[in-house]
Amino acid sequence: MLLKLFRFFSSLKLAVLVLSGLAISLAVATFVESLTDIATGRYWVYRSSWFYGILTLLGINIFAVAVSRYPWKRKHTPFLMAHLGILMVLSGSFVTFRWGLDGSLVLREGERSALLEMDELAIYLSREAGTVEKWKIPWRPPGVSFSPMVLGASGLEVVSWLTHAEPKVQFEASQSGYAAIQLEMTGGPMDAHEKIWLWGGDPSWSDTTMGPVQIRLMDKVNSKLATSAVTKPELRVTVAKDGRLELEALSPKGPSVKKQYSTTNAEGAQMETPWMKATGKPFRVAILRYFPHALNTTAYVASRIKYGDQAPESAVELQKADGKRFWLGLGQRATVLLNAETPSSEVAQIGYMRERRILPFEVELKRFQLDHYEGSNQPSSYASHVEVFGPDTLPKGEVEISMNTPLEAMGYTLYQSSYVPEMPRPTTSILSVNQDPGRPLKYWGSILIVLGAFLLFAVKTWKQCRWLDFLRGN
Amino acid sequence: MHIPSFCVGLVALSVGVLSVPSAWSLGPAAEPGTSRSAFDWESVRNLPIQNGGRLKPLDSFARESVLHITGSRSLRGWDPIDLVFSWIAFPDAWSHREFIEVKHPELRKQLLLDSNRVRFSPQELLNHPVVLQYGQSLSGRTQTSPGNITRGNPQQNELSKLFSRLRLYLAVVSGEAWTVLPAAEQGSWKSLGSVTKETMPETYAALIKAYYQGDADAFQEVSQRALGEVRVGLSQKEVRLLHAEVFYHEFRPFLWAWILYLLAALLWILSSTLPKCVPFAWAATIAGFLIHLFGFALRIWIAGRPPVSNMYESVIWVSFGILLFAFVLQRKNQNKLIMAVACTLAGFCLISGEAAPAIMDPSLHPLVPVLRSNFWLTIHVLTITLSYAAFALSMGLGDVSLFHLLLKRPGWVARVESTNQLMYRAMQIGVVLVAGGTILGGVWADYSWGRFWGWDPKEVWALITLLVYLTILHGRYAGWVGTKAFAACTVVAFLSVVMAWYGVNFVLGVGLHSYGFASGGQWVVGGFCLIQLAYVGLVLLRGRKQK
Repeated sequence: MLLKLFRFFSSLKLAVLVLSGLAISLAVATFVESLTDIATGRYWVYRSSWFYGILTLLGINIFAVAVSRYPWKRKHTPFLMAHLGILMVLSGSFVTFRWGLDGSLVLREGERSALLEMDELAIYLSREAGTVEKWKIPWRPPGVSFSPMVLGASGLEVVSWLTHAEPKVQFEASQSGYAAIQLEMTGGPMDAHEKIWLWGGDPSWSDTTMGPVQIRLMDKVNSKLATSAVTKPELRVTVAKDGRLELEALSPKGPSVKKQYSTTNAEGAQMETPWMKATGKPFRVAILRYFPHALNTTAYVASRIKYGDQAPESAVELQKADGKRFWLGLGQRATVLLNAETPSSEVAQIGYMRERRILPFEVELKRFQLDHYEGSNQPSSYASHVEVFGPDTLPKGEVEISMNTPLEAMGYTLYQSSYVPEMPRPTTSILSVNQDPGRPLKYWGSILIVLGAFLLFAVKTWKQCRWLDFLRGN
Repeated sequence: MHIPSFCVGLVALSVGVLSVPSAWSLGPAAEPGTSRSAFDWESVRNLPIQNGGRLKPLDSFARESVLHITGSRSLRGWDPIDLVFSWIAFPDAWSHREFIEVKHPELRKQLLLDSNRVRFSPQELLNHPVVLQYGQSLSGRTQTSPGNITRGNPQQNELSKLFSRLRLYLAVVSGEAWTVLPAAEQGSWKSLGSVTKETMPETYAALIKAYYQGDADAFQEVSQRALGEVRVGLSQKEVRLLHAEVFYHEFRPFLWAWILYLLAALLWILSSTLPKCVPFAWAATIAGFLIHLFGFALRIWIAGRPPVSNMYESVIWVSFGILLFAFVLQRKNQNKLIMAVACTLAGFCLISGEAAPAIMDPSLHPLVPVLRSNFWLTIHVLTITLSYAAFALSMGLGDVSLFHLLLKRPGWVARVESTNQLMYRAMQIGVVLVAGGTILGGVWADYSWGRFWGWDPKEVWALITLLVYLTILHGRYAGWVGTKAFAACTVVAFLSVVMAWYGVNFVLGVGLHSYGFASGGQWVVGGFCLIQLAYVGLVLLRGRKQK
C-alpha cells in the first residue's frame, strides 16, 4: 500500500499533471490579475490554499522521484542537482513567506525613524495600563464577505470591513449641536432629482449651491449669519431657537414663497418654489430629515473603483459593547470608552493602520538625489544618502542607497524603492526593508537548477559531439 | 515615477501658434510648404541636438518626430528632415494640412472627428472644442512617452498618445523640442524656442531663413557653418557617434538583413531539389547574418547599451538568436532543413519589426533607472529572449514535421524523425535558457529590490513557458508523447512564448477587453496563433481519418 502510494507520488504521470496544472492556473491568474489587480490575483491564486497545495504536490513529487532513483549513480548527478535545486527554491520561498519580513520605510529629508510599515493591515488598541494589543485584519478582494472578529476581552468587535472605501458624511440626532436638514430638490425642465444635507456646524455644509440655486442654512441657535442681498435664486432655511423651521424660496426679481414648520411636522413636508414656474415644471423642495441638533459622523461605503491604484484605501467598522458602531479609515485613530456601563470603564485609543515594526536601529535621510537625463524630465537615477544610528556594528557615516546598491544592516537589507514625486524636487524617499532567512536556500537552489539543467542536456551533447573533440584533447 | 503636466501650454499654444519665424524677419517666402528635395541635407542631418535625454543628430530627431506625429516613416514621400524644417518655417501652411494621426476609430468617435479619415490637420485638432476639453481634463495625469504603453484604459492611452503627438508638433514648431548648443557656452543646451534674437546663434536664424526663402546654396553654406560651430563643443567620439547614427538610419541594416534572409530561405528550399543552390544559399545566409550583426553592433555602439529596452530590440535579438542556434545545430546534425526554417523565421521576425514602427518603436531611448548599467539584468533579459529564439526554431521545425506528416511523401518517416531530433535539441536549449534567465531575473530582483519573486505577469509567463516545455519534455521522456504529438505540442507550446513575449505587454497590459484596439498588432499576432492552431488541428484530424 505504502509502496503504491510512493509509486504514485514518484510517477512521471503526476509530474506531467502537476506541471500542466501549475501552468494552467498561473495563466488563469495573470488574466485574473489583468482584469482586477495584483492583490486580488494573490488572494484567488498565488496565496490561495489550493495553489499551495499544487506547489506542495510538486515538492513531494520531486522529492519522491529523486528518492526513487536510489541507489544513486554518477550519471544521476545532473538529474539530482536540478531536482534538489527546485526543492531548495520551493522551501526557500516557504521560509521567506513564513519568517521573512518585508516593509517600507518612508523618510523625509532630515527625518530620523525606525518605524517600518508593512503591507498587512491591523487594528491597534492601546489601553490605560500602557499595553498595546494588535489584531491583524485579513485582506480580501471586494465582494468577498468579511466574517466579524471579536477583539479579545475589550468588548470591541469588527463588524465589517471594506477593501476600498469612500467616506460618506452622515448626520444623527443628538442633545446639543447644530441643526441638520436633508432636502430633496425635484422638477424643473431637466427633471432634476437631487438630495442634499445642510448642517450649521461648518460653512461648507451650510452655504452651498445646487445648479443655479444658492442654498443657505441660517442656524439662529448657534450662529448669526448675515442676510445678504438676493442676487440669484436662493433657498433659505432658517432654524429658530425653539427648533421651528422656516423655508424660503427667494428670487432676485419676482415672487417668493415662504413656509414655516414645527419640529414635528417638518419631515416629509413639501414646498413648491416659484422658480421655473413658466415651464410648467416648477422646482419642488421636500424636507427628508430634520434634526434640530445633530452631530456629523463619517461612515464608509464601498468604492465604485474596485481595482487598481486608483481605488481608495480600506476602512473598518467597529462595534462597542453598548452596540454603538463607528468607522475607521486606514490610518485613522479614535478614542473609545470601553465597558461604559461598568465601574471598570476605561478610555482607550484605537487605530486602524498598516502593521508596524520597529527596527533595531534608526535611519536618517540626509539627502535624496534624483538625476535626470540631460535635457529631459526622464529620471536617470535616484539615491538616498542616509546615516544609520544604533549598535556599533552598523556602518558609520553617510551611506548611499541607490537602485542597485542596497545597504545591509543587522540582518536587514535596505533598498531604494521609490520616492514621492514633489515639485520642485522630491524630498521624500521610500526605502523597502527586508529580512529574508530563505535567501541562502533560494540562491543555492537556483545555482543547482541551472547547473543541473545545463548538465542534463549537455552531457549527451558532450559525449556525441565531434566538433567539441578539441576540448577533450583527443 | 514622474508626473509631468500632461499638456502644459497646449491650450495657450493653440490660440496663437508661437513659431520660430514669427520671432525674426525672414524676408520673402518661396513656395511655402513644398518639399525642398533639391537641398543638400547632408550637413544638417549631422547637426547635433539634445533631445529626449540623448545627444543625437538632427536627422534622428526628425525621423522620430515624423514617425510619432504622423504614424509613418515618411509622410507622403517627404524626407523627414525636410518635413521638420517645413513645419518650422511654414506653420501657417501646415496648419490646414492633414498629417497628425488619430488612428483608432473609437477615439475618433469619442472626439466627434470625421470617422473616414486617419489624419487630421493641427487646425482641426487644436480648435476642436471636444479635443481641448479632453486635453484640459487630462492635464496632470501621467504622460505616456512614445512606445511606452502604460496600464490603463486603452481609450485613455490612445487619447494621451494623441496629445503627446500634438504637444510634440507644437514643440517642434515653436523650436522648444529642438535644442541647440551655442558654441560660446560649452555644455549648456538651450532650446531654439527659448533663445532670443540676440542670444540665438545667428547661424540657426540664417539656416531657417535660407530654407524659408528656398535658397539652396545659402542653405548648404549655412548648414556647413552651423555644423562646424556646434562641433567645437563636442569630442571626437561624439562626432563619430553622430555620423554613425545618421549612417545607421540611412543604411537600414535590418531591412537588408531580412531581404537576404528571405532570399536565403528560398534558396535553401530550392536546394533540396537543386543541390547546386547550396553555396548561394550559404552566401545569402551569411551575408544577411553579417549585415544583421553589423547593424546590431552599430546600434549597441550608438546607444551605448545592450538592446534590452523594448519590443523592437528584442525582435532583432531574437532573430539573431534564431540564426545563431541554427548554425550550431546545423553544424552538429548536418541537416540543411534547419537553415531554411531559421532564415524564414528570422526574415519574418525582422519584417514585423521593420513594418510596424508605430507599434514597435525603433528609435533609441535612454533607459529607465531600474534598467541602467546593470550587468546581470542585461544578461537576464538577453538570456530569456534568447530562449524565445530557440523555441521559435523548434516551432518552425515542428511546422515542417507536421507538413511531412500531412503529405506523407515517400521517406517521410525518416524526415520526421530527423526533424524531431533537431526540434528536441532546440527545445532543450530553450529550456535551459528560459530556466536560467528566469532564475537570473529572480536573483537580480532580489539583489536590487529584495524580492526574489513577485508574481509579475512577465515573470509568471516566463515560468509558464518553462512549465509548458518541461511538461512536453517529461511527457516525451515517459513515452506518452509520440512523434506526431511531439511536433503538435511544440507548435502549440510556442503560443506560451507569444504570450510571454508579446501578450503580457500588449494584451494583458492594457486589459483583456481591448482586442483590436489598444496598441496594435493584435490582429497579426492573433492571426498567427489561430493559423498555427488550425494547422495543427488539420494535421491531427487528417491523421485520425487515415487510421
